[in-house]
Amino acid sequence: MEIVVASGKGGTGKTFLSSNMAIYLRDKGGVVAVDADVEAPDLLLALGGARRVLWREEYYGAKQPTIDYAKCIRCWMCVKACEFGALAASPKGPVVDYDRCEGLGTCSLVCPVNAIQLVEAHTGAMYAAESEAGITVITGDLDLGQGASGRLVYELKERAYELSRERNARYRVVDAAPGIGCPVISSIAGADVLIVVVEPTPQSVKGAKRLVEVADMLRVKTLAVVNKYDLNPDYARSIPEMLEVELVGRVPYDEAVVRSYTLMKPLLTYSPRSKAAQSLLEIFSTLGF
Amino acid sequence: MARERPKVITVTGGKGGTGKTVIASNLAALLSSAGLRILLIDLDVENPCAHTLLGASLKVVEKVAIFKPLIDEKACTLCGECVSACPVHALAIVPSRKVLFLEALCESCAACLYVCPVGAISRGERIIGWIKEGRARSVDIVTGELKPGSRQYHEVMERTMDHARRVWRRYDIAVMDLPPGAGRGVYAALKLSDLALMVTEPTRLGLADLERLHNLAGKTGVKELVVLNKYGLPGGTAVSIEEFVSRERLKLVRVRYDPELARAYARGKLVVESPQSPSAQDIVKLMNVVADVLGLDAVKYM
Repeated sequence: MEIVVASGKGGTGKTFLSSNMAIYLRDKGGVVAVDADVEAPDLLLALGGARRVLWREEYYGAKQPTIDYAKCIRCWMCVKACEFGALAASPKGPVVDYDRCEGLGTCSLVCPVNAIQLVEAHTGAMYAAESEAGITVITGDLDLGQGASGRLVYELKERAYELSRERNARYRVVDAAPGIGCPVISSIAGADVLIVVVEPTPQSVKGAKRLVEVADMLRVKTLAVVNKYDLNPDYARSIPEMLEVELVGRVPYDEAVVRSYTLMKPLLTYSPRSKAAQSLLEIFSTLGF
Repeated sequence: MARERPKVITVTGGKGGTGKTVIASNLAALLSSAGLRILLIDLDVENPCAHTLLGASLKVVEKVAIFKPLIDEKACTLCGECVSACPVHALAIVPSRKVLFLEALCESCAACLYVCPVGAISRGERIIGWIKEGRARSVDIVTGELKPGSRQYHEVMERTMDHARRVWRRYDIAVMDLPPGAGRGVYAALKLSDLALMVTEPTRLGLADLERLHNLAGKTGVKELVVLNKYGLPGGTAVSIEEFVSRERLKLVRVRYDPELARAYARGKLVVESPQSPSAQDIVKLMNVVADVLGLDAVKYM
């Protein structure tokens, strides 16, 4: 079973929920955790950091055009054909702006003299590690400033699937990136259930609504968890109605959560009797794990 | 005096929920009340919220559209050239019937358009977002918004920056509010900026993401200023951030943890409207540091 934890807005508690869910599921049939927030991967840290790295794989997720200026006849076909404005004319020939290039190769296709070759480029890495808290986490780590994160997320989920089969682990928990863009769509697509983490603020609800819209398009079942609900209890109560999503539970604001991060221990192990831990346990049992 | 561009301040932070939008919108309002002409550019296209804190309503001024193929079935000879040219398998042939276009897979490279030997493919468009404008508290706002279900957030960010750059010489300062992360869109914004405010919080995760962002900012040569928001958060760890800042010789401004700020945020308000609150006082200090770094004499009297 693949459970994705996401939120339209950042900082609402995705990693908090996923790290503790992984701890809970470890003894309920086994779990592989996936950090799909490849621009800011923190799940392994929340689970105590890496005790040992199991494997690491470099990721070549983009193709980059390289131009042979000796062959180039300066016809500028490539400059005109690029949909992303990534090629500009210069006296020596076309120059590529790699930050705008999508690596799809239309330039190479239209070049009449075959002066443009596509070369694979390093865009990140994937690695699996055993965390201090005893959870296997597959992490994607996008190179700084890179794009094409959605494809990397697909790869991560694929690796997690293989590993969970190998180990007979019943669950996969995917900690998604904030937002609703490419990596989030890849995280949600094909999942069994999406859990949206919402805070009782208009900004968080706005983001969550946009996320629910995406999940509906992808036909993934969606449930909501309201985090820090007691910061605005009245507003929190109206969230399921605003999102038109079933609520699985609410977590109160609890300093123990912040402390657990500071000590790099998941709340369920650091302070299982805290208010927030108790509500997490209730949520996990409601989910029927 | 005609100028090419305003001073550009980017508000970024790596981790989500550290307070980027709060800092960006409060700072924009303060700078504007100090008499400067301010353009606020909301680049958090996946969930743009800066206008809600300023109380602005927005109007669409531009659609963000990208290429999609329109296939003329009568002209199509089912030769399959487009299918083999498509790098993402968004085109397929239904044998002896037609070419099928799978919009969800299309990445708009337009290769199909160029390879079709009979001109059966023409240029269509797919809307992936909108650029909107609004104004509140004398702050002009440009916002990019990704259409839910579309993947291309970088494209919407880049087009929003392009749009803003066409008008921004009318302003003294442009404040860009960024999404979380350290990807391509963040990199593009940092490259356009004079100063990056890297908003973090006193947690281990805040530090980890700040480190990544600092490494990314280092590739661009932008000036960096760390804003340690929620300073004094019970249970938090400011020390590790302070150590990092001194190790890397960065400038640091602290904004105290303040329930007043959280309340203002939850009501969709600016905290600088409660000037007595600790966080509002800290944001005024932040503005003065920003003014100092950028050499803005106009705001010094505040």
